[in-house]
Amino acid sequence: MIKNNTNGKQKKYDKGFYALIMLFPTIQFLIFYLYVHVDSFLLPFQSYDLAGGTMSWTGSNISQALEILFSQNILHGFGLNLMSYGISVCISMPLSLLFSFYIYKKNFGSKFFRIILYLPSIISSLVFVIIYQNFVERALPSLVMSITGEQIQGLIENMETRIPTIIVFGIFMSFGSNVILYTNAMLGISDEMVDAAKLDGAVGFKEFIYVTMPTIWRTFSVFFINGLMMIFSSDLNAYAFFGQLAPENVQTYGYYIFVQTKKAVNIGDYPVLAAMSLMISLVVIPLVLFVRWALKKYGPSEE
Amino acid sequence: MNKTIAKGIKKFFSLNSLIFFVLILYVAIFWVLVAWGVLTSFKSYEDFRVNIFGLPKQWMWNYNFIFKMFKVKVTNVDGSMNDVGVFTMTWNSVLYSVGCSLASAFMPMLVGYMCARYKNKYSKITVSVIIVVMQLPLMSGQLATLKLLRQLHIYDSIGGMILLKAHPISFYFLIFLAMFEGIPKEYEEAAKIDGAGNWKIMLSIIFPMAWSTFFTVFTLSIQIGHRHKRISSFPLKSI
Repeated sequence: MIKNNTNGKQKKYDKGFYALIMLFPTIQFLIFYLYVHVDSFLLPFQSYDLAGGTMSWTGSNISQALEILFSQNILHGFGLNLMSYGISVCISMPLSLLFSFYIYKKNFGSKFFRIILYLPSIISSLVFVIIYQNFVERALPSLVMSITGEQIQGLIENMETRIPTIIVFGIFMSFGSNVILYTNAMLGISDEMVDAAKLDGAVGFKEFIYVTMPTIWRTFSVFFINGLMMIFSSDLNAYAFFGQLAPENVQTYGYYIFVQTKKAVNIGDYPVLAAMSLMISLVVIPLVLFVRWALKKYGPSEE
Repeated sequence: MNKTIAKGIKKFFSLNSLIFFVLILYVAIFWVLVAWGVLTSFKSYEDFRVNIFGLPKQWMWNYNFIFKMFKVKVTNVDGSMNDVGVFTMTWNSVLYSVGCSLASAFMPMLVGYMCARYKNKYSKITVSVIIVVMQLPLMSGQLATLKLLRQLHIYDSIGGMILLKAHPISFYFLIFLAMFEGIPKEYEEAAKIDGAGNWKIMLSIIFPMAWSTFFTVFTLSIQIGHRHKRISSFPLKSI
């Protein structure tokens, strides 16, 4: 009887403790996630009269958003976003995977390379932007001048080389955390599996393709899908390079919405931008869900 | 002899050697840029204009300017202006980075602990909700968040940003959940026999075991927050 009472008291105490600890996370979730996301679907249909302090419902924000998204100068950003994602998938991701594989196999200098690859992620990207920008704008033309005697424009000033120059910077900065997380995933591969594969002749590139990739496929899928989710919010580092005055040919959807949001003075400026974000989400959500399904269904099996 | 050469060529073009050469190229470019940037920071503007690659003709301590003179005018939410110097910027950066990273590392740990050690219906729902929400590719919430921050009068404040980050919805939650589930129940039972309460068990026994994971997550959060400062820069216009 006494034991039952003590158990009952303990249970009550546990419940109270649980409720107390979980109170803040629950409220935070309800306000900053649930409310915010419900509101993000409503905001595009709202219009604010700040002078009168009233809010009304309207459909005009959607048509305005579509008009902006399909206007010629912004539509160019759509292509840029796709191109930047394509480059990330075709160059940055394979390189990150290969670098991780090199580090995971503990090849010569792997610890050193791990630190160097991580450094650009620790140091503020703005510092690198300033160094890189001055290097390609001033140092490189000066170097070419001293070697060939020919005067060339800075690589960012030159319209033809501007986008590739910025993309190269993006690739250069992209390895840090990717390499760490891929390497950690690779370290989970059992030695027995690697030894068995070795006996079957899977070494070097074959080991990478037939043993490593299938085993880290889940981690790879997460990165792939995460990149896809961010496909239209990426700004190609345009804000870091140009601030709010980026030339039209480097402006992406992500950049445009970011700068317009930064310029916004009050809540009344948000609905059209929210409508743009909603339109982009409506394209991205099915795309992400489809790719996630395809990666699960057609991805390699660990067996 | 031919076999040896063929073997040598094969080794030269092996996957490892190719990755090694690409990595060396990366390191070389990285250090050239960093060294050039550091050297340039010790030149006068005139020296930089005519002597872009060489060593500084006269070593200048430009950092003096940065520490003493460098100020940026920023507009507050109410429209007033104020000057922000390097020390304030650094202090705000530290507050922002450390505060937000602590929040985004601590909340997944706390909720992960509760869900792993207190198995009940609410814990199951919490785990399911977090996993589902993490999978949803919603990206339109930013403007609604800004609107909410303005309505709550915490727009343009570091406290507001920390509050925003104090949620368990992240990959880190799953790491902590798995880690706390892996700790044997015997620790708690032994502590309870010794008279320890729930708070003591959590703070003095189980959390210290998660210290290294917490530190890793905290470090990763600082790095990610550092990279994504652009995203959070709207609500911190005057800071």
